[in-house]
Amino acid sequence: MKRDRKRRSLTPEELYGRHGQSLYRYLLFRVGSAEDAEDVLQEAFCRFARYDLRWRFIRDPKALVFQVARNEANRFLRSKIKQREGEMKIRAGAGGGFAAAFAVPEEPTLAFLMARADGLPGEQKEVVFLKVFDGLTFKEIGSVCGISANTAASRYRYGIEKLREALGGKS
Amino acid sequence: MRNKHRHSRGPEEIERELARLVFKSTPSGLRQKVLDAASNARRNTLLTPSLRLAAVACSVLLALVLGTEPILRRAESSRLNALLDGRSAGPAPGGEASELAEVLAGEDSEAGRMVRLQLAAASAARKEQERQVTEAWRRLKGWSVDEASEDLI
Repeated sequence: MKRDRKRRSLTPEELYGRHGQSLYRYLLFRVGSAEDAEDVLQEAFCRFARYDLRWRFIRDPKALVFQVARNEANRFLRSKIKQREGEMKIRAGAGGGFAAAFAVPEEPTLAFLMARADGLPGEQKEVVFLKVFDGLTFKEIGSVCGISANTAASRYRYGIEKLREALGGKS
Repeated sequence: MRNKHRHSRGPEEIERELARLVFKSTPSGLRQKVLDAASNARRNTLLTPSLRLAAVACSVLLALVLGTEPILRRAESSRLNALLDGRSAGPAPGGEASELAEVLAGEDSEAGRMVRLQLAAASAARKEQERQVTEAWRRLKGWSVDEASEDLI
């Protein structure tokens, strides 16, 4: 992602314009319900509004907004569900997944692909989502998920490989 | 044949296939709701960004003042010490005479001698003034105790 040349505070309006939609979809993917995704998105934007000055010192706002949204989603899942169950859900790829974020495709192959994508382990699923649908780099995905860029890349490769095998086996 | 073709799908093709998935629509009014919540949060923060900046600047200034004050005081006292030429403020009785003798018999230059003479004279004058004030205080001592208030009228 290109760095902002001018380091200045980003208004919530600007942030929403740039990342609002993709954050909502990501949260839908993470938490699984539209209402919950809305709530978490609001919480995330409240946090962004409080950050204000911090934006001047941030090199990669895109990674940060996703990171904050992810943390908010995890916090939400922990508080909503019992602590232990919440942790398990977070590790397993949260309550959402592809089925929560995407409309059911009419094309059988696509529907099959989506089902298989939902069957991936949580961490691979998340990396695939962020890479394919939000266009984040592995470095950015690494900072969002708290892992190294290499780990993000290998999770992605494993995920895609599984989908490739599944599609090959199906036909 | 078809199977074989399917089996040779590359990662790019999987990505392309995945990208064909259509997102569920975003609820209407989400933008407004989110931005309202953000502006509320902004209003409720204790300090606005500019105030926060001012607070930080003031704290730095205060720390600077507190930090430099002892340094300035030390510099001032060393300057005074240098002016007094290393002598204490109240020399021992008879110090003036010895100082005078020292100045007159010293091997300083003419200018140095003049400076030292001036300092000695100033010190003697100051001492005389102090003596007069002390004398006046001594005379006044007990005056307000002995006099009744009605005597003052």
